[in-house]
Amino acid sequence: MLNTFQQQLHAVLPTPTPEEASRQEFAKSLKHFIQQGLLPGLQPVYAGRAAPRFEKEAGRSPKDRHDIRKAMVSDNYFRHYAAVNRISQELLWDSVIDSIEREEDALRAAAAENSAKNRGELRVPENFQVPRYVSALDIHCMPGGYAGDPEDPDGVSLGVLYDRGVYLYSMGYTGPFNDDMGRSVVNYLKRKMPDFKPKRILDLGCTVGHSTLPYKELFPEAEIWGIDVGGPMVRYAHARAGAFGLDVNFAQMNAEETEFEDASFDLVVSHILLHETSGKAMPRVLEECFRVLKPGGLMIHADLPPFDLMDPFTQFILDNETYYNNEPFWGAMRDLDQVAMAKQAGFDPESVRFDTAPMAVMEYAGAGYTEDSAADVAEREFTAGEFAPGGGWEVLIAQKPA
Amino acid sequence: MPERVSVLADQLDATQRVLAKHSIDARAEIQALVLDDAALEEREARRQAMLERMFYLVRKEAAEAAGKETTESYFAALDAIAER
Ligand SMILES: C[S@@+](CC[C@H](N)C(=O)[O-])C[C@H]1O[C@@H](n2cnc3c(N)ncnc32)[C@H](O)[C@@H]1O
Repeated sequence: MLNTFQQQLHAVLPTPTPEEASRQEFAKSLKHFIQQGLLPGLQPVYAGRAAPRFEKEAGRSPKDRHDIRKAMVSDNYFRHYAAVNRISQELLWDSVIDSIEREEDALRAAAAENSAKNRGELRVPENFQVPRYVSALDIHCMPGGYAGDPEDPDGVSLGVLYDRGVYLYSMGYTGPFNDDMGRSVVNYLKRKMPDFKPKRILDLGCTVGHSTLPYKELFPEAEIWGIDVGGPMVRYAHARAGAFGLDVNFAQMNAEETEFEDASFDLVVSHILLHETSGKAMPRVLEECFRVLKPGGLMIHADLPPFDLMDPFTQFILDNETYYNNEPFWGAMRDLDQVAMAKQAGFDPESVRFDTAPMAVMEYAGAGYTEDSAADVAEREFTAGEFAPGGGWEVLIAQKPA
Repeated sequence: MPERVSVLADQLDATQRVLAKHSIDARAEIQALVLDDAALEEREARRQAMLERMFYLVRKEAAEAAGKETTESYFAALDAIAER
């Protein structure tokens, strides 16, 4: 497949110069090449030479993902793959930073102007405590991370960086608006539960609101809240929603302990939030979901499936994110029993389950999104190490007893 | 590589300056250029082809591992042919 996907630009994104655009396209092409041209070689290299070498030295065959890692880290092919992967990541963020710095003042003004168009609330408290698992690392190697500099109270440039950077990072697989996860979950709800009409919806760890906006689009009557611990993220999210003409509320809040009242939401969702929290935080987030949900309300978390559904080699590939992409909890989370954790939080045991929400990317046309290329993305087999599980997003679903 | 890139950049710069003499503002037109799907595909195909050439040797390793074409099997094959 030739990936020519293009992001839909909007009022709060910079317009890259031709040179910046070329650098950004190159970063995206390199990522594509790594996944299509280098990633598939890991399995034969492992089976053909790394595993036999391990057996010779250890006197037994590799048994789990930790053994596979030992067998692979010294292998030249793997080292090459890992190094290029890391470099592609750095190139990517670098290529975006230049256009942001060039347009910084204009972007700030555009953010203020578009934020004013959004009639939803924006809550950014003073002295907010960002949890350590977010502030300590630049996750995905994104310079500045999510929380940024607390001394820069109205900066949005990290939001811009995320918006554009994540599009390249995901190689456009989540659509021209970066919103495939939210859109897929909404589609899933509309299809599986046509009578469910949530009036108040909360999106946890919303970052810049990519996944949040489809909820407003498809449940226009509902009151929508997106919360995140990153100040620059929610400020930018509020402006971006305004740029698309949507009234959505955003707040800087911690999903472990929000300011919302008990039993005040019909639907609480998150999209790739949980793996970026921590072993201590994750059960607290589930308990908080339980608290803010009305009786009979629904909780849906879209993330990657637990390890026990995968073979050890696949686990090893996914685990790479932990080591090379600053994602400390990525591997550990997949060892946890999420279903048990949800039951523990109080959800109806009968209702707790994993399911797949098929990708919505097929709905787009234009700007590089041809029917064939979108189908190639949506109908892939699941391949560890590729961006996004082919086929669909894995969702953890649970209902609060009515 | 850097030498090649530097030469290309100079050539492009020269082209734009020559065009400017003929009253064609190439820089502005390039900035305003919108690529259609055909152009996007042509560019992407060129980039992927270049990456394939760059990573040719690395990828050969994986192909060999896949085909179990180890040095031993290569010599074994040579020996087998020589013995005939
Ligand atoms: C990968 S991003 C989520 C992407 C987003 N949901 C989307 O679909 O576009 C993870 C986000 O979770 C946020 N986050 C991490 N821990 C959090 C917490 N305890 N409460 C709220 N947000 C949190 C991070 O700041 C980051 O913005």
